[in-house]
Parts: sequence; C-alpha cells; structure tokens
Amino acid sequence: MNRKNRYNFAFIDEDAKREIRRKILKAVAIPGYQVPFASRELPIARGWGTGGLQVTLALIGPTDCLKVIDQGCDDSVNAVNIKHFVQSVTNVKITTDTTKATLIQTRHRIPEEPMNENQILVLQVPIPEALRNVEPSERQTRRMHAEGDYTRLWLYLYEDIVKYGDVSIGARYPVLVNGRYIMDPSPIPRWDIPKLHMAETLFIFSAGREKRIYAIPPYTDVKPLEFEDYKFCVEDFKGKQCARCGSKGVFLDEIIDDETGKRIYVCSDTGYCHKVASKSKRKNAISQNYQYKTAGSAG
Amino acid sequence: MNNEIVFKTQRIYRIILQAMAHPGRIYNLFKEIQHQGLFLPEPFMGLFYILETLLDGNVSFTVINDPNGYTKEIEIITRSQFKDISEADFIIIFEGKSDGAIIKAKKGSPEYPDDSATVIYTVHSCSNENKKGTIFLSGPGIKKATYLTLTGLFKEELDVLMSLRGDFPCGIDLIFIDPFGNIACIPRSATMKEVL
Repeated sequence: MNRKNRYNFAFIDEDAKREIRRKILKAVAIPGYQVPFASRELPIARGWGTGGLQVTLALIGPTDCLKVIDQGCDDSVNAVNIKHFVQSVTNVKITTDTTKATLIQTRHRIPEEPMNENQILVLQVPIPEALRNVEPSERQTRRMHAEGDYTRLWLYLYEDIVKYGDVSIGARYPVLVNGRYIMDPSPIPRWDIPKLHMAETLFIFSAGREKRIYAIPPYTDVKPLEFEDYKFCVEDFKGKQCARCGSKGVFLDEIIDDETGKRIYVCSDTGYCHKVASKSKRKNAISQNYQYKTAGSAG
Repeated sequence: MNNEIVFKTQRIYRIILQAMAHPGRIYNLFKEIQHQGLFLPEPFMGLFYILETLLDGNVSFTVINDPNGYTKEIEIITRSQFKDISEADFIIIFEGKSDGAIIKAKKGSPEYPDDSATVIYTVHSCSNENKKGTIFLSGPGIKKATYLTLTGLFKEELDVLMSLRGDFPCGIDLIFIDPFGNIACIPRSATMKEVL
C-alpha cells in the first residue's frame, strides 16, 4: 500500500470535513463573524498554517488546481511543505500561476493578479480577533462584537494618531465588513486591503490555533477603519520598481545588499514576478530575432 | 471510505458553497454529479445529496410536511438526530410551507449567531425571472440586485421568512432545491424584498 492510499482523501476524516464545511457556510452567511470550529491535529504544528490547511483540505477535490504562497512567495519553506503535503494526500495539480489555480492558500498576501468568481482564496490567520489589542478577554470581545461596541478600537486608533501622528498598524489593519463586523484581515499588508472590497472572489480566513473561521463573500463592502481627517493609506512605492521584472504598482519587498549596502526592490508575489519577467524576456527575444531578421533581409 | 462518495460530497459542497456565496444565483447539482451509491427518491435526489453532504451525527434535523416518511431514511443515511424544530440545526421543509412553524427555528444569539438553523426547502422550480411574487435580493455576494423566483414556495411562507430577517446577525439561512437539481441559497446577510 503506498503512502497516498493510507489516508482518507485530503487526510482529514469526512466528519471533520463536514464540520468545517458547515462552519464555512455559516461564516459566508455572516460576513466578518468568527465562527468557532474544532481545529484538528495535523502533521504540522499549530501556528504554521493549520487553520488554512484544514479549510483547504475540506474544500479540495480531485479536479482542483492548488497554489500555495507564503508572504507572496511560492517557494518558501511553509508554502512548499504545505503543497507537498496536500499533493501527497490528494494528488491534485499544483501551480504557481494565480490565474490557473482554483484554490489558493496564502499566508499574509493576496496575489497581485485579479482573481475570479470560480476561485477561492484561503488565508492563514495567526490572530483572528481584531479587538485583541484592546481587550484580552474572549468573552468581552464576543460581547463587543455582538453589541457592535467598537469604541475602544476607535480610541486605540485615535491614540495612535495622537502619539505618532498616524495609525501605526501596518499589517492586520482592521476593516469593517458589510457595515457590521470589525474584522482582522490577517497580517496582509495595507496594500492588499482594497483588494478585499467588492472582490469577485470568496475569501475564507482560518486560524487553527485559535479555532476560528471567518469569511468575506464576493461583492461585499469592506472598508478599512479611518477618520475623516486621517484617511487610510497604503504603503508608498512611488518611484520604485521590481529589480527583476521591472513591475511598478505592485507590492515590493525591500532587499539590502550585505556587501554594498544598496537597497533594491523585488515583487513580493513571486508567481506574478516570474510571469512578467518571462514575458518581457520572450518579448526581448522576439524583438532581437526580428531585428536580426530585418537586418539580414536588408543586407 | 469509498472515494466516489468522498468526491461526490466534495463536489456538491463546492456547489452549495458557491450558491451560498452568491445569493439568488442558481446552480445545478446534477450537471456534474452522476447518480451513485444509495438509492435516493427521484424527486428529492437533490435534497438527499445536500443532506448527505452537510449532515452527520454531530448535528440534528427536523422535517416538516414529510410526504413519504423520509425521517427514518434521513436518520439512517446521515446518522443525524431528529429533534424538535426549536433545537434542530437543519430544518427540511417539503411542499414549500411550514404553516408558521419556521418561526420557532433557532436563530442564534448576538454572541453566537452561528448557533442557528439552516432551512432547506423543496420547491417545484427555481429561476431568475423577474415577475410578480419574485424575491428581489441585494447585499453581500450579489454584484447587482438579483431576482429569484421560487415556484412552489407559498406566499404566506415567504411573508414569514421576510418577517424573520430584521435581526441580523441572528437569523436563519435558506437553501432551496427543486427536483431538477437546481439549488439557490439566501443567507441571512442578503436583503429580501418581494416584487409586487
């Protein structure tokens, strides 16, 4: 018996899948609300994407094509291990191309390329509670969500502006979903927050350690918290471009050369960067070939 | 477990999920699913597919207007427990009406709105026509407002369902299935109006 046949399809048992599936339906029906679920043990440690992985395993089928990214990168340890694990228990196709994937599991980024209605983005979440910084008690945060009592979070943002002149939250910037629930969008950068608003795709967030699932259905109003005089803004990459593919207007990672101390920027989304780089390489090759041919015929 | 059943329930679930994420949009269960496994009653095959996919021993159900005594079959197929409507996690309503019983369904609490019932109606047909008696839907999951016509859902039942929708996030989520495998969902987040 080979390794693939030793486990149920997609590793977790069917009753566990059913439970997760029912919770996802409730999460979709109540956008932004954190649905508790019985997070199962997996062969990776909690805190390494087990929430996202359980949702992926509950959703995935033999015809799916899976992409896994970690901070935008297809080849980081976390992404590669999750891909290998899912592939070994499902035998599904794996891709790095956002447009070809039907199911994308991600840690801390939303891909640069726009996604469509048939795709599902599963986000790994370390801390699902947006109010945790202002209230340590779970019972209290649940009451606050129930009553829509978000004054302490607003006060926290206000105090940030008083102290630092701006809201100091970078990733995990709180958003208001469908005008009702304040939600932690997982530690995605501010750059990705506008992608949640009225998106075509279904976003499912899952925290394995904290045992919570929540969702943003397609075409849902998602607004970052902001004041009239202190508007939400994204990271500024003006005048910067990817050193590898030349892309502008994408989320960039800053890299400092140890020897020269020079700062360069590269796309955080490696799948997108690779696609753009190979397109421009092909374009250059075609144009060189064309120039060679024209030169040849002229001669 | 037989992988064919595993794949079938996965496929059905993804269709239900798409339907729940796109309120009022009609999807078809039979397009991609070939009949497999247990004998299922023909006019309600779609319903039994949904039940096989979502129910198990950890949840409870109730049946209203059960035409052929399907309660026992549902218990056997899903291992789910039959409970009173006020406690049931899934409420199956045949013939498009509950005679007001749906008012007693679990709607959750403000702290735990997910502790609420999912109601599955069998109707004669689902379509996206815009005519008198049609349901006009807007809200999350809907790009532009959409229309859902449910033949076989009684007007009185629709009035009761609309009266239950003022208490978001508490409420019930609705799934409609017809004999042709067409499925449409209305989660509690969607705004419902009747076209007069």
